[in-house]
Amino acid sequence: MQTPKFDLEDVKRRIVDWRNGQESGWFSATPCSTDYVIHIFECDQLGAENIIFDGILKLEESNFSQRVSLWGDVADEYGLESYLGHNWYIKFMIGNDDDLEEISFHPCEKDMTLASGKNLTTSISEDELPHWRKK
Amino acid sequence: MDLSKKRCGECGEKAYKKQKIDGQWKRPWKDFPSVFLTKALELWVCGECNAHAVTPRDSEKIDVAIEASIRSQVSQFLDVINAKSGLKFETIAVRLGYSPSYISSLKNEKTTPAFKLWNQLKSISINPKIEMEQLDPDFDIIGSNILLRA
Repeated sequence: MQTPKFDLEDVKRRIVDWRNGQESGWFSATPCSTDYVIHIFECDQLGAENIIFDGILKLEESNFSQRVSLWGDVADEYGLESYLGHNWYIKFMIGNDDDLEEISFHPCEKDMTLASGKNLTTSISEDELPHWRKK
Repeated sequence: MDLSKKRCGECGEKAYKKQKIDGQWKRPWKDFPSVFLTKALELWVCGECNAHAVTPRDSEKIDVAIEASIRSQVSQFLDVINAKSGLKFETIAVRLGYSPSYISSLKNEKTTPAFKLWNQLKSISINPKIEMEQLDPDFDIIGSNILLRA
């Protein structure tokens, strides 16, 4: 069974530091993370950030899905079940410069299988997709 | 945080630059599908795909700039409606279906309206005299031929 590249407790420590104003992380693809959360909950930017932080802090090793290649680097994918009414697709990595790069945090747009074999179902309909995710 | 050597999560290019942003903010905020920024802010922007990155403390800056922009715009829409229609703010409030104190808090930039009201005020301020006459609850709906059935 595949295991995460990045230590989850280390990721959570960076999230706590980030929330406390330290420069330990950043959002590199807002349409897949903060903008998507704003679209779902009609919250402000800080509200979206907090929803994402709280979601990542809920993750456990059992939520891990797989390692994926991204622009020549490796990121970890996780699936979070039943958080604020949705199943969530989450992707992040820790870069060479030691910063946490939060890449994706959005409702599962297709069924997702975790490394444990557990299945997370799609949790957003075509109608609910933000316009920038519609085909 | 310095993103100048980091790769954009949208296009993969290492092309981030600090950029002053104003005008069209084609990203959602609360119930606004997009926002027009009249209060500028500085963010890291990808020079290749124009995607924004968000670093620690940016979120607060973004919220402050957007909120100030929307509040300032609404206050100006109300000034334009008042000046061009000749109606008092109390009358404008009644015609829009809001309390005078709520309209006053918008006028004084103390409250952020929902997108629906912001958009309505924007639309009315383009032609306030006609729009405000039509919003009068005593407006002649028979004479204006907008009733199709008895």
